[in-house]
Amino acid sequence: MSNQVVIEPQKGWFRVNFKELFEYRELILFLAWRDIMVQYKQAVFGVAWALIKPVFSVLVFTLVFNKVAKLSSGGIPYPLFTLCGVVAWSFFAESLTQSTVSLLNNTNLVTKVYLPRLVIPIASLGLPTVNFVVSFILLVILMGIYRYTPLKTIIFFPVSLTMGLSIILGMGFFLSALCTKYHDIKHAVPFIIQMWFWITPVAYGMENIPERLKIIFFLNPMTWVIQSFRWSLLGVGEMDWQRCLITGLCSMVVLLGGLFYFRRMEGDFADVI
Amino acid sequence: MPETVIKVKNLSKCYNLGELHKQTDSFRERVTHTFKRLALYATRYGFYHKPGVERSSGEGFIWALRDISFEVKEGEVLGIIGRNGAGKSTLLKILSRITKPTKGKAWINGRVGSLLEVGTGFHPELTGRENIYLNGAILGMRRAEINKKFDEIVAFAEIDRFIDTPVKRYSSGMYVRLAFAIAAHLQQDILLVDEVLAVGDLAFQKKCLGKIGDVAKQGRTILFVSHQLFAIRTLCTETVWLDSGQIVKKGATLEVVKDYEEKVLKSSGRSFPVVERSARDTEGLSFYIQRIEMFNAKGEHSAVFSYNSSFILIIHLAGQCRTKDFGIEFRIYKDSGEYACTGVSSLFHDIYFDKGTRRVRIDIGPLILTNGRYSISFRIMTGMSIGDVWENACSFHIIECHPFALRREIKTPVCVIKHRFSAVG
Repeated sequence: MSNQVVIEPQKGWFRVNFKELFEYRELILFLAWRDIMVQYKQAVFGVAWALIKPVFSVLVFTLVFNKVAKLSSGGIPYPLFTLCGVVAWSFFAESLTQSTVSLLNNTNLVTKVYLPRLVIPIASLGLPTVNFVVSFILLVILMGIYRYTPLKTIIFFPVSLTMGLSIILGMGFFLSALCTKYHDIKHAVPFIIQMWFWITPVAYGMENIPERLKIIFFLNPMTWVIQSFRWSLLGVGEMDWQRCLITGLCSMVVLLGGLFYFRRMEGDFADVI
Repeated sequence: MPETVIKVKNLSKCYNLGELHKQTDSFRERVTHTFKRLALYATRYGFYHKPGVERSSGEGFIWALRDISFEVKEGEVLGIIGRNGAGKSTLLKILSRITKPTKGKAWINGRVGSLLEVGTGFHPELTGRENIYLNGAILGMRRAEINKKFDEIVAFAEIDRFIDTPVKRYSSGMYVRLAFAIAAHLQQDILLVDEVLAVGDLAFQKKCLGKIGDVAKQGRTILFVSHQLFAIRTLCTETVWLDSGQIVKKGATLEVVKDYEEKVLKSSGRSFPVVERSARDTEGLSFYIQRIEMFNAKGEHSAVFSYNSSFILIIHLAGQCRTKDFGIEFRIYKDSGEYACTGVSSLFHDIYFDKGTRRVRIDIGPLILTNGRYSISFRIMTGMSIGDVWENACSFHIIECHPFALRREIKTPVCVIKHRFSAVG
């Protein structure tokens, strides 16, 4: 018969069955849709929350970073500058939080049915994606208000997005797999993300950073994801091609490393979770 | 000749006990464990000494399955029985690819649907309709399949009025009915079913059993794990009996289930072929039953009898009978409380035992009682009064009652009477 399944002890290093993953696309959508429905059910404001959060973040950041700390924003209106960073950073932060706990929150899917396990962390990105799209629309509107038309740099936008997504997926795979064994991870991740925010140029431009501290920012892959995101949309901020290339390579390593670790641990999920 | 759809060869699964007791294996434990290991090395090389640190032995492992091999043909309904922890669920988990075997291999031909739980992935905030689509997708149904089966599922679950209500507002019965209804409409070629019948009220259980029976009739292959032996007898043609991860017996269902029941009942300790009253029980009685022994037809002590066989009771009496003779009465009750049958020496047979009699034999049978546990109560009739009453003196089990009369019935009759059908015109 055509569809024979062979069950045997885990062997081999790195075999991702993309064909099977594709066959389960419907389930990925269903699970993502469930997260979205559940998130906004019995909430008066519903999806409007995806707008409320970035708007208030921008208001507070403008007050603190721009008005109190007097940090500059590369010569463009500060709210626009920050919103751009917030939109990208929120997507990163939310995705990481969601995917880290995805396997843990779906324990019964892991222990009671068969599905390619990769489906679960991938589907967990559904809700952050919807929030990202909604807040991105807000960003486009704000760009319209400030009369910013996209420049030629826009062609770099997909590259920036790919880099970000690779890092998100790679880290998501790694952390969700790790979290099945060590539940400590779910407490650590939100904290790490919070710290990470401060050393990433989300709410301030790179030019504010003293030269001798820049090394920290150069080592942070998210620096160049955020920088390139903003640069491709608004055409401001420092762009360092060399470092951007390194970040690109780095994101690929993170993606493959995460995938590798996930596949490696996959066979034990049901037993250790 | 039907094709072999499932082939299992030398399948073994080893669990690390640390994994079973997952709570102890947190990151903190791992860190302390690492330090303990360092301390151990330090001790070994004489740098550091701390008593009580020992190298962990090989006892931290347990074989949930050991060298299991069997084959299942297309259209076969295979039952899997065994005590808790025998490895039944582990076997299904491996076959449904939830966990990997440690050794061995298995081949499965065809789409597999596994029902280790009903309602997997149900979300309380979503409505019945939404959960049907979600759960269907999780169980491996395509959207088009669910669309086609949707009305059938709703009708089966009897929840049509509440289909657009969030399931968190459902009663637990409705919840379970909906969950099972989805599972029952799976279209896979091979179904792996684990104990899912043990949910819902009796009427619904009956309906579920019927539904699984229908699925079996469509020629699909089913692996069915259950503790309810009547369900196994009703549905399965072949049965595997697992114990401590190994196959004890595989073969025709009636035969395997009979052996299993006998073994379990013997070891369960609920029925003893010999029962004796303590001095405290008989305090103040002048004439009483001291001891009861049960024998099967071969003359061996036993408390487990097959349907249609017979057994012998030996009653030992003690004390002083004040009347010149006495009679004995026994009453048999089914576990569920029904008064099944009785026998009285004096009234039925006009037999009176002389007051010096010390042992009485009762032959009972052929037993037309159905499967289950029965208890016997005894009375001594002295003259016109009751001399001694011993309620629930002993108990026995009936096995092997052919389930033809019990098909699709949850509530079983007390007996299957001897009868014969014939056409007379």
